[in-house]
Amino acid sequence: METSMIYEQMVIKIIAVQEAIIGPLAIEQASHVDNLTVDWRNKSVKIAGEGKVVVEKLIESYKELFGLSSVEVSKDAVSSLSHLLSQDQIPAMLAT
Amino acid sequence: MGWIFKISKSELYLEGQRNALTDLYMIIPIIGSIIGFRLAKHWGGLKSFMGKSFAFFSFALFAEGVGLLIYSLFFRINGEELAYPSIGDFVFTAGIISSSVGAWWLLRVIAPVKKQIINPKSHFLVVLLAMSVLFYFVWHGFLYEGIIDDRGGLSVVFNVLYPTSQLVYLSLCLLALLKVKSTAGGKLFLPMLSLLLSMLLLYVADYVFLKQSYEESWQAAGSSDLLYILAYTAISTSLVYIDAVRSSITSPRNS
Repeated sequence: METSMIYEQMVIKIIAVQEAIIGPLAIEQASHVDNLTVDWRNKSVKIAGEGKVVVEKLIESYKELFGLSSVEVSKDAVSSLSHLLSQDQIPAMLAT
Repeated sequence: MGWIFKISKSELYLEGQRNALTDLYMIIPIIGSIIGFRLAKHWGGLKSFMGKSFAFFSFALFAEGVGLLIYSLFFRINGEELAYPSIGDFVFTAGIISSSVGAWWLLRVIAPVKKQIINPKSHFLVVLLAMSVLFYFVWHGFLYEGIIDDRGGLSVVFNVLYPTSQLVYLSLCLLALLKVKSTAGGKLFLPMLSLLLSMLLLYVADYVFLKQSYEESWQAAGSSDLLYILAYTAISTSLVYIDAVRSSITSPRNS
């Protein structure tokens, strides 16, 4: 899988898990992340800039609401994808 | 002689006022539930953890309001000061179960990953210890009297069901309270803390009511009613507070 696609899959998984927790607010939050276009009706997203930064910013936007709990749930949601990236490609918030 | 008549008249007046207050404060949980149900939609209704929590807490408020209404009707129509056990008790029990389900979903909002619920084990131990101590007070405070009741089997069932089922929502709220610091720094930390503390206040109200009922010291518009008024108001206000945070996040962007 291409690196850009991995980041997009990560974004989809993070939004989906946050949607299960807070409902439509999760999509609202995601739609305001720079360089991220969300078409949630088709469950697709488009990253325009650097994927690593976009994933970081997305998690940061949820952290604004629920603190570290949001980081934990995001980590858990993308655990199956993180190992597909090299250490330096993994967003800092998902590391450790 | 005149002043005795005056006092008894004023006491009668006061009793009327007290009964009126007890009859009327059901409006608070009912209004709270209507608001809560409306706000639940903003969180995706039953499709999200937060929406479910809102919906079940709202149903609990609604059930409390209806239960109070039924008790009031028994008092006004049949002259029964405490219509126990009655259909009202089934409604109150539904409310307690709904509070427990609401507390569970609030716990899932705070700790969405299963390992966050399970760990650390010390949280379970704290809750278990707190519940054991509380059960000791409940048992020795009044429950030991309730397992035998001249009014029949249904009374015994409710005598046991009320204090034990209330411990379920309390233990879930305590567990959530121990874990809520993981959301510290987030905008929803304080509103959720406020809702959890309001639920603890509801438990205090429930405990005081049961104790006073057993001791036959309960009176209309007394400390028990005051605690219930505070608890219902606090729960309703907390639901509004949580949604106000959501609104503050979305509104500036929409404008």
